[in-house]
Amino acid sequence: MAGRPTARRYAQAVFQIALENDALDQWSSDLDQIAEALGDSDFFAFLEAPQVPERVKLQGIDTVLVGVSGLARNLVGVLVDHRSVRFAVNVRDQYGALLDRHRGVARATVTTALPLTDEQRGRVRDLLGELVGAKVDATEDVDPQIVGGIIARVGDHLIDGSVTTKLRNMKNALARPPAQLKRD
Amino acid sequence: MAIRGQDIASVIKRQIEEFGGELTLVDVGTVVEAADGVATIHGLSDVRSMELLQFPGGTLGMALNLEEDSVGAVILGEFAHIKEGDEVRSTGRIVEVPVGDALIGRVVDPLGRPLDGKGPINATETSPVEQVAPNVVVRKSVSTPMQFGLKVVDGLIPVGRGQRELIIGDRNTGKTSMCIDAIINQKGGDVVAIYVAIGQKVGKVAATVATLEAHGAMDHTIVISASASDPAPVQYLAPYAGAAMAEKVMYSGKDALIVYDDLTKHAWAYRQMSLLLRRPPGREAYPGDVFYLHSRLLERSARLDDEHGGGSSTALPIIETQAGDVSAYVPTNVISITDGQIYLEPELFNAGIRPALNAGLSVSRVGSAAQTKAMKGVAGRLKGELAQYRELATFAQFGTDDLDPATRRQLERGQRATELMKQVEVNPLTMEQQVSIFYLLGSGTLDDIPPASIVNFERGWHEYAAANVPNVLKGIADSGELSDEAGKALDEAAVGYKSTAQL
Repeated sequence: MAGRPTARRYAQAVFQIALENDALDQWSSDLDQIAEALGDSDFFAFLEAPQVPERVKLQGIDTVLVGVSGLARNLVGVLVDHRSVRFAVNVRDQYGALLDRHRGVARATVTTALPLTDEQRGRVRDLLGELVGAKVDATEDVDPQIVGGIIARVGDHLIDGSVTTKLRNMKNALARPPAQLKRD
Repeated sequence: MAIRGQDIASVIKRQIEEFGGELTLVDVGTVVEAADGVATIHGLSDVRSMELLQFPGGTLGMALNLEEDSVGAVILGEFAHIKEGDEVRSTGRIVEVPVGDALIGRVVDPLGRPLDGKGPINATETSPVEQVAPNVVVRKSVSTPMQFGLKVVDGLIPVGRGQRELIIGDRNTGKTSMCIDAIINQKGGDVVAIYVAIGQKVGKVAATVATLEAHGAMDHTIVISASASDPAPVQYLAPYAGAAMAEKVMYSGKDALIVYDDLTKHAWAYRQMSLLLRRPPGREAYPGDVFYLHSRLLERSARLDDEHGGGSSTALPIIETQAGDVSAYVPTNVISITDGQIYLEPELFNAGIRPALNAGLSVSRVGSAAQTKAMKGVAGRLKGELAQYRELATFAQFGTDDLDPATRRQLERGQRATELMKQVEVNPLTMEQQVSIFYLLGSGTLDDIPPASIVNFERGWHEYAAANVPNVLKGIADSGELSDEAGKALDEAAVGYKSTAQL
């Protein structure tokens, strides 16, 4: 995880540029494209290789990354120059996080035992939104293991209302000695 | 322990009623690296320092390094099953231990879990292990003695309630024994003793507990054990857990005596933890805050003023030196924090002088204020005389024939005083017994007893005095003073004893 703070600095710089140029969505798709291109291990190795001169690498970037803005191409150039190409995917993720915060959107993962109905989905979204104070963009996940209830994860916060957890808590509470039982 | 059916039924009832009730919002993170009992966790953005973390499988951890992007945590217990990608939950609880009377007589680990197989601990209160020391306003200077029952300590290096007195010496010089003696001497008194074993062999801790039990001292004692096989973070927590228990006693207006055995191993455990957490190493590879590690611990021992209950917590930290090197890093740190030190020497120990206390290097910076008047009167000058005797004795090895009578007298007195300071383990003497024998030394009654017979003489004397002049002893104990009449009575008794004694 050593690269995370580094990637954040790049993402912050990119985000400021995007904000100034009013090109938030453009950058979003550019970064996606860059990340995808770098997902190709040959291209990544080419950019990482110390024996390839920088001039050749820049030409390579121009050939592969067609359709990205000039500034986005420059970002890759800077990353190559700083020998930080491997952070590109992190930059994309961090940029996404910054964009979410800017727009007041929180990403959530909601796990349920059965698929949610539309009505339930709306209620969950409203409830979570109220709790975190932001618009919630939820991804859904179905896991019969949790028996019932719902587990929602928003950022670093976890709201665990699953039946499994409650059963486990009850089991732990019953296993405790009486004096401690009385206390809580 | 009987689990009452009523309790279980009521709990189940409540659980059923509340089932599906409250939802809790917890902080979660993901393990990105785990090795050697230390984990780096991504996430946990709202975690607090020293907060307990829940790893999978019920293992607990403690958050220590709060960094911009990750949290460095130590794992308190089994860590082999923790792997990258595991979910870690915050608990919202700062590391805490049960405190209060329910712990007395028990052997527990640094998280307050019982180790003695005597069932659960029915403590009703808990307290965070890390707490800020009592401030200036609530403190009072040391004024009551903490009797060790050892002549050499109570006479020469008196320790008061609320004092921090370091016990320092090489391995096998009687450091632990001295502290065990001090704990046993509190039997029947109002002091709660806490013995914290850090990084020791389990067998040694078991032997210590057995000694305490054999002398009926477990009735007022709590033992906290973090043995050599416990993970370093658990050893690191042990003294703070003990301090929290001692504070509970202190704040409830009573007196606590806490022994940290020993802080050298505590510093080692902290060094291991710090290096694994990648904190920068400093001198002897200890981290930069190793001084604060012990200063904040020992500052928690204090004497409170009457407005705040008048309780106290007396600390006896132990430091083990290597080959008598008191100028190593940790020993010098702890020496500078404490209110004096008792220095035990292997040379004295091997010469049969036990406790092997070096009177010249040992000092108590505040304890003499706590000595009773009687003790001050008879033992006040003794420490200086003994130290002088040691110097003279080295010099006089080459023969005493050429010495002037005054010097020779000093040597003779010093020899007897040295003999008199010998005391076998677990044989505490009361304050009045000590005063009576010191009085006889000072009055010159012992001058015609051969040094080799002093130990026998003393043993017989205590029996004789208890049988023949119990009122005088009681008078000293009650008033804390040695009146002229009492002195005369002791002189007379000594004459009577000498005529009957077989030496």
